[in-house]
Amino acid sequence: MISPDPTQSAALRRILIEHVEQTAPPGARVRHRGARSGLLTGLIAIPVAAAVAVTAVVMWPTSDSATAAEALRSAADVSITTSDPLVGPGQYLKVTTEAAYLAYESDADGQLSAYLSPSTTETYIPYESGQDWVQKVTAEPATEFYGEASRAAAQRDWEETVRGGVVRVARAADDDFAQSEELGGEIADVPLPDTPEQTLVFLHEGPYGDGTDDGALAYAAQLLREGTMPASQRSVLYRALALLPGIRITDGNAVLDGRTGIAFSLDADPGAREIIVDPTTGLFIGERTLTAIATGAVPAGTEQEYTAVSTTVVDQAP
Amino acid sequence: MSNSESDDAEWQLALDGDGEAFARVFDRHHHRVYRHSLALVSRSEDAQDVVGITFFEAWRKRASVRFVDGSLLPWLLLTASYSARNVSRSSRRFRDLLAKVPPAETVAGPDELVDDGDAVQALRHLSAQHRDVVTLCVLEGLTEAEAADVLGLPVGTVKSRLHRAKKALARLLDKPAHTPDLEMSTQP
Repeated sequence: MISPDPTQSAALRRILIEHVEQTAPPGARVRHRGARSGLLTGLIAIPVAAAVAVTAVVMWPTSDSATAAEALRSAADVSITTSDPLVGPGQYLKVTTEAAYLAYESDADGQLSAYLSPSTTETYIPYESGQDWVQKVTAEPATEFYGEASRAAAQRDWEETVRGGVVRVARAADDDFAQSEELGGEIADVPLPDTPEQTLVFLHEGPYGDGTDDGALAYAAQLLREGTMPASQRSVLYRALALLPGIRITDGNAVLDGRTGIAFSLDADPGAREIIVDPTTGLFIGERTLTAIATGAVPAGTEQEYTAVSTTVVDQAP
Repeated sequence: MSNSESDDAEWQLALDGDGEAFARVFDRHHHRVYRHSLALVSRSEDAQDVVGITFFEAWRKRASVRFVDGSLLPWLLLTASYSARNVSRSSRRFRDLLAKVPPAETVAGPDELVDDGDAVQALRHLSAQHRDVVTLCVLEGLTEAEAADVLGLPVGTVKSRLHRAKKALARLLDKPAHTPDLEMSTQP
């Protein structure tokens, strides 16, 4: 079994001891740094759908790449005209993410049942640099059940969730969230390149770095669901996705969180990730994944994962 | 102080300025963090950097780290996973501290980098969310409820991600051991 280099480990150990002893006034709360960096642009530039003249929802009856690319470019055009109002002093950008995941349960005979487990995450991003961000995660009881065993499983898991806390509120300086990207993570402070071509390269080289189009779409979805991307960058991102050869429309009338948009996916896998965009505003509504085939008590076409993102400006945080 | 103290007990001492207490947590877990990092990055030098970043991050986030049965290891492994996704970006914050670490006297060869086998290598091809639940529930043996507590998520969310992560792993491992996809992950 390979081990770390002992000389390096000894040095690192010594540096850690010095660092801890130099930076640990007893009971001190961790605070850090001053000015927020490039993300500030994203924070103050939030889209407001109401600012845009709403046009008729366009239905896209075919699912070929050219049609999908055209729809994405159209969404990019609309995005760039969308107003980006400022978050003012003392205010917060509130990013609300409604999410649900299909939680599977296998019985003694290997039969699968499942229930849909929803939760809501609210992230409050302050205008002022150095103020705490606040993140509130609220778990909710199961909403959909597939199979006899699913209700008992949902009840048992819900009791565990209640023990751990139905509502969890975390605070952290700037974007330094313990629970963002669930742990150890930060909201990405990543400026996109200026052109669609460069942006596509950037997406291919992203954290899912296997260079595949599916990885690029996954990274794009991650950036979009953070809810902090200004309209100009979102426009470039859509144009980059329009360059993916396998991009297609899987649902021209997809409803997520009560909002209707166009669902885009790659044609490699019928159960692949879809991103859903409002064609009238260019706003990113969310993403979802459907089951490709029937499995146990879960029929094909069931939502097995979705997140819906919305942003507002508020005056207070929890 | 005995070496058998749990991590959270050591942590309280470290918070009061006891650097040796922090070092004992380092002693306990840095080998495991290193091996985990090796599965996620291409070079042993990067893995060593990830170890440093992870422990510096632990100290920087000392007020909010989470323990499972007194152990910091689950938190450390997830932080290592996050840091490994972009070593250069993650190391920026600790550039000055990492610069004090001398170069390695030994560098792991390619054979050593696949020491933990294709199953662990396949981790690199999972999404971050799936990788995290596999790390906690499969590699570390935490229950879904414990993983949910570490991640700050509902149990149902962890259960869902674990199910899908296992399917993704099965797809990856169904391939011949040295398909181009899997070989790609071992290249520098």
